[in-house]
Amino acid sequence: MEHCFDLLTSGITPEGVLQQLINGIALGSIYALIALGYSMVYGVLELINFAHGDVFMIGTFIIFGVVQATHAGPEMTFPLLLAVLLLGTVLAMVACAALGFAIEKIAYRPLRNAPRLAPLISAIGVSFVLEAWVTTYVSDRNHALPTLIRGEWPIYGYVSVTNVQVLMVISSILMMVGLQFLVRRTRLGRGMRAVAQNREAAALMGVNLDSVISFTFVIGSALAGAAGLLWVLNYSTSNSIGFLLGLKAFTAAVIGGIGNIPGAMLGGFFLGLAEALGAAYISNISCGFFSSSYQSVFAFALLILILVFRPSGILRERVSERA
Amino acid sequence: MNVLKALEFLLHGPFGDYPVGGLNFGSLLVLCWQVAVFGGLYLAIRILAKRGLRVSIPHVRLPGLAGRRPLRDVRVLLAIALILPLVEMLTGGYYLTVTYNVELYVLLAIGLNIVVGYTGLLDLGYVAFFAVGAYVYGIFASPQLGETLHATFHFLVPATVGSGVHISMLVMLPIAGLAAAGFGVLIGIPTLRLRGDYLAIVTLGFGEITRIFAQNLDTPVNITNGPNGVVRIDDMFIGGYSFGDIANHIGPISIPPFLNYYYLVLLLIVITVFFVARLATSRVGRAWTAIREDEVAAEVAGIHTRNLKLLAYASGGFFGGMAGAVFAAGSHVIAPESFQLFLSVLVLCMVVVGGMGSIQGAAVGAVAIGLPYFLSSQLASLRVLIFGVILVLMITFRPQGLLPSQQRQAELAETVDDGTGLPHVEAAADLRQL
Amino acid sequence: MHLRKGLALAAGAVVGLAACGSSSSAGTTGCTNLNATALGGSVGAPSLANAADMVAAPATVGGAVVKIGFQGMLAGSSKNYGIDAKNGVQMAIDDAGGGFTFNGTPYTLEVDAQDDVDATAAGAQTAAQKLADDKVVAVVGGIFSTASIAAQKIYHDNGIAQISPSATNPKYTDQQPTPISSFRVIGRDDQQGPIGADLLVKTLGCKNIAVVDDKSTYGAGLAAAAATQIPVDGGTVVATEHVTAGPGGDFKSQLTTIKGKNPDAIYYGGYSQEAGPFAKQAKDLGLNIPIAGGDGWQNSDFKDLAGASGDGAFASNGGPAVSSLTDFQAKYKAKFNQDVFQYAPQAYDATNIIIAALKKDGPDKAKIIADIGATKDYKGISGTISFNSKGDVIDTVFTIWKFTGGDWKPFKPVTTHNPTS
Repeated sequence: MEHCFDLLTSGITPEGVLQQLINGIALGSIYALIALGYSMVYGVLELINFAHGDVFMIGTFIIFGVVQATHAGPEMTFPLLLAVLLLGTVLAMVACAALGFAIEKIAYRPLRNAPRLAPLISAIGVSFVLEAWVTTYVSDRNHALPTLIRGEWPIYGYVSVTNVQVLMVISSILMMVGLQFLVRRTRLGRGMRAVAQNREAAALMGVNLDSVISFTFVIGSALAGAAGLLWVLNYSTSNSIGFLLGLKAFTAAVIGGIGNIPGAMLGGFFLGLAEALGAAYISNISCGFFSSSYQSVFAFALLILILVFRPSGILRERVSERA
Repeated sequence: MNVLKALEFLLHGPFGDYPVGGLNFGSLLVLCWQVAVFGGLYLAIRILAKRGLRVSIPHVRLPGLAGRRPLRDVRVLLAIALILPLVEMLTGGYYLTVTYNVELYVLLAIGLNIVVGYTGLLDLGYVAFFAVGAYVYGIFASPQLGETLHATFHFLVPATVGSGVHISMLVMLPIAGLAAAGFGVLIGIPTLRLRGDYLAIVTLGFGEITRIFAQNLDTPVNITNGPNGVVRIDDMFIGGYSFGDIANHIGPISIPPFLNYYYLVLLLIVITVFFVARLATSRVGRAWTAIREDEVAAEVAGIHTRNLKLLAYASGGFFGGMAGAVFAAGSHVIAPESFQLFLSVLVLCMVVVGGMGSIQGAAVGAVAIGLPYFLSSQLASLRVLIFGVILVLMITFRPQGLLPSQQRQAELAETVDDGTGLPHVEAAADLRQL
Repeated sequence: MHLRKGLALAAGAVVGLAACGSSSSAGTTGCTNLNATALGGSVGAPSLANAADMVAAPATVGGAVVKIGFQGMLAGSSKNYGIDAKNGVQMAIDDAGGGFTFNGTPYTLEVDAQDDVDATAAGAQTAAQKLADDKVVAVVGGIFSTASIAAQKIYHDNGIAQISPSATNPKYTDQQPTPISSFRVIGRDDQQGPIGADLLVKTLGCKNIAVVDDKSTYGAGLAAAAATQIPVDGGTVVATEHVTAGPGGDFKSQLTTIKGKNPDAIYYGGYSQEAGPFAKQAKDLGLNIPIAGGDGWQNSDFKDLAGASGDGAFASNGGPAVSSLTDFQAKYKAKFNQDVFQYAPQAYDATNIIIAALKKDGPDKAKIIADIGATKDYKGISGTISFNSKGDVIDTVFTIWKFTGGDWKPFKPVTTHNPTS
């Protein structure tokens, strides 16, 4: 017992907690960006788009490919580097948007009135296809960029925030705000909300169902492409990162209240924090029974807890009678 | 060989690799080729379809499965299943091993079919049951338990226990099944309120959590031996007859271990099918159908949805657990990586491709996916690619599966007819009988 | 492009090394001997003459076909390991002239390679069964421990010798069915882990060490062995962390915890897929301390993933860093148009041991098992091989490699001993 008490306090320092918070928020901003796409699609179609994570994966490959093709490296001048990254991001967003459009058209549209299981299976199939296509034709190995953007801001003690982390958080918030504007203030957004409320009624009121749903996929996939940039700046990419990341992003969307755009954002940050803090301190609070090896349990455990106890998420968007 | 070459050419055209920085930029050309070829094909079909040519996949009628006299057909099927391995033995052990592995898939698919097909509970974590059964058998039938007990209570348990407890399979198989069934109830309780794809994603989570726990329960007490897995698992045995003993023989013919396991799994399948078929037409089975069709209506009609859903999980888990126990005995080693999420997805696809809610469907789906999947391992990632394409095509063109249950087929037809989404006549009729 | 990258890496190396001493602040000892001399100059230049010999190997092909089996991942995410080892087998057969003569009768040698489907138990068993059906005389494989153990009984039942080039789990030989038929030409986890501990504590003089693993069979075994040895050497394990295996992981949480414990060095047990990003993220967090590990990430993949951030990493790998290995690498490159990835040298040695047995006693499976077991002081590419009664190599030579200037450079050879029985 005394041992447990010691554990509770040992190794927990203000610096450590602060650094973990920063790590968690940075990681969470990527989850958030992917979650936005999940949330929008689920909000409009009530479909778990399992292929979304793989669309994101393809985005990371496109950006990586652009950087490799232009021989960009940390020794490049900053404006030039920025131009390359921007070019990569735009290409990735366009390609992912086209991919999202095609996936919806080929794999989901014919199943719009099928039993609910059908589109889910179709989504799993698409996810297999995308992953296996990249494995077969592009690369089956892991790839990482050298650290392209350097520099950090000291905060407190040894704690610091890197420029990349700042970029991650700012860009994800900007995109969330832009998306919120689109959904709340534009004609198209109104169409999306109408379809989400009641598909048949919306169609009767003159909303073009097909184009609204296509557009939802296009926007969500483009965001996943943009998230690809943040990912390759930090982490390695490979053909198989999509599925698990997609699941985590879906968890984030559920935590925030699926169908809710700020909720997806919040859920992403929440999940990122839970993973970072959880991996760091689970051993302390569980008397050493659990260790950081349980890190990937947190997302699933959170998902189960939220779905069981508060299926409408933190920001209660829709009372999900289906859940 | 020429056929393969032609297929490859059709798939990715005449392009070579252009590696830049570790990526193959030739893939861009392949993409253009594929868009042109398959997009063109798609458009052609669309245009033909618009011109009045009905493109429909003919109803597959496998002889001996969907005929009018199922009992006789099952006998034919059983006869084939009984003789097949004896024929395969003539060619050596390879095809026997493959058939045995596919057979395990069949058992899993039939078990999952109870949960998904009959009760409509979308379970993407079925591998958890498989894992629980495998670990229960593995821990009790290997030195693992003895070593752990000795290490933990060395003052009480002598080192001689270290060689394991070795219990007959007649005891261990049901225990493994029951453990998995209990686990099914454990998973079922918190998820009772969930439906549809929320349930899918939660069960998926449970499947992953199970694997991660198996990977980490080597501390503080070594239960699963962590990532190293449990090794030296006993073969199954009844009395003095060990399934894995190569000295087994009938007359001059020696019996390979996998032949024993093959017939054991076949026996389990027969028991499962008998159980499921009886259950499906019983009160319980009709109640499951009612829950699948409309849970609220079922509850209103006085069905104990909670108990019946838990029963579905438990019986699905029971068969999954037994399959796991056989798997553990047959492979002598189990490790967490044997229980990946992919297995759950694969088995679910088997059920769906075969036709949900139909026993023959699940079996056919398991063979139709499992056999090519095993035999085409040399195709590498291309095989997953083709699998994914077939899955999408299958579900878009024939959502009811290869061999749909006749009942469900009728329901699907009704849905198309009325399109109201109201509870179906069939289910309502079932409710009246309850 | 590569030249430019190389320069950047070299610059990074200087920064990385200089920073280590300063990273240990208030109260910690730090590594006292980081500038321990690297093993230099003993590496011979690749001999092109040998490579030419190889390609033009005289063919003494003829007579009945004798098959040597290979079991490993030939497809899927880990296929690099499998294909590399298979190439090693092929190379040994080609070097033997594609066949052998026994009692004046010529035989043709062939490799029968079977994929064990991502090293799963079912895949390994089907592969083993196929090899048994194909009447192979002996098998090289499997690559990963679980797959090697799963196939073990089938080989044993069929009286086929199995030599794994790479299964490091102690249970592979410790708990095999008797009489033994499974061997390995690589060191065990419980041999290799202590090497890393000795390196960090004794050679580099680091006192406080964080031990990290990826919870894989291999990584966890290695890290556990290192963690046991560290206190024996006089060091302290200040943190034990685990990362989740899988591509594209985020390890900053674990690294921050480690940073809070102020270690002088990290021992990382696992594969390059995580080790590369781990090393990179450590640098990103300002953890400029040496990271040591085993053969799972002493490869080109680590080079690609960690880049300049990998500088200052150490990893042990089986086999000596001597000119024979360099020759082998050159021959391999000339033949297969790619670099040695990992276990080709071990697979090459394993095959040669089998061929030696074939030459001595012909294609007789039982005699081959006996001959392999009796192998004494076989001079291979990966070391001098003699098996003990369990099937382990008695003296295993390891080389510790240091990642400097964006590439692996030999640092120090180490020999470990297994008991002879």
